Amino acid sequence: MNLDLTRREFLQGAGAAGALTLAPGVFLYAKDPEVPVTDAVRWGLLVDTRLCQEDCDACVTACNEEHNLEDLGRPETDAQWIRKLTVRDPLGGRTISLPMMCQHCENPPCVDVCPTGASFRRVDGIVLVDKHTCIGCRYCMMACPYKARSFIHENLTEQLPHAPRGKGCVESCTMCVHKVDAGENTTACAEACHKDGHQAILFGDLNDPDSEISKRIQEFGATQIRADLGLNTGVRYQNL
Amino acid sequence: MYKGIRTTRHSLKNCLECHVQPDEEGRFPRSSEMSHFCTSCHVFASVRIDCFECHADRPHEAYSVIPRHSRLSLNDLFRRRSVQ
Repeated sequence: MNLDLTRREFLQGAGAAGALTLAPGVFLYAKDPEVPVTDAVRWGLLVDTRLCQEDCDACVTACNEEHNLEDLGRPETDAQWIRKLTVRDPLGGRTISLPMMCQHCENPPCVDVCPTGASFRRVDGIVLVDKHTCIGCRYCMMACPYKARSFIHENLTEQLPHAPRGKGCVESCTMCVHKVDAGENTTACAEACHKDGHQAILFGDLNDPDSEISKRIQEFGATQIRADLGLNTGVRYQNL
Repeated sequence: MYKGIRTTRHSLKNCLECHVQPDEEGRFPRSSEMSHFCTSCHVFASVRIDCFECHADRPHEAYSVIPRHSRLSLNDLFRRRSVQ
């Protein structure tokens, strides 16, 4: 074995082989950049609302910084990929705080209504907008039951290399697809939540029965918001 | 993006990594300036460039180096050129 391998080469080699087993049940999946994504994985997020603090917006701040979603001082039109909600059960008055973002549906209404095919679902479960094809009609914003999408009304100038965004297009949570494609297998919101010590957001592969996210769902169960719509969301919630 | 293939071959991001370099003061040119690699030809040919209305016009390392500032619009550049 060549011991001079860099970490990157090592991980890429492992990616070509599929997955690297670090310990029983712990897989490090690093994607080969030349190999297309497959439906063998389905990326998803699990939110434990018991761990989500009402006064914390670390996930929102992290998302805004990761994609440089600037606060232009106009909340009606400013882009928002993730937002914090507080819901109250009228019976008993229990309040729950939770982050709401694109739910990365298996049957996304935004894709159904898009007249140009700009809204699409990748085979690994991530719902995205092809901004070269988006004409800014905003049908998807109307169709989304989660109000997850934002339209960009103004010229932007400080876009980051990994997050192209511009006036006249609709955009939403990308499940940090730039990180996923780079093999980092995490999202800015999940990282920030973890760093803040709440660990309410967990990213992982819903198709892998040995992944942490699948194990937690298997053990404790998880619900979809508006499950009645039959969208089979990739973002699941616990203790709603 | 569709298939998650993010190689450097067809990547605008990768072009900019080499073609957009800092000046002596360590400042990276913006797409609104003639010293920007893409803009220098596009203004000469009077072909408006739309890429940087959405895409970043500098390599990633530029973002930790220079303070954020607003830029001239490309229209201003074209207007200025036609006056000259």
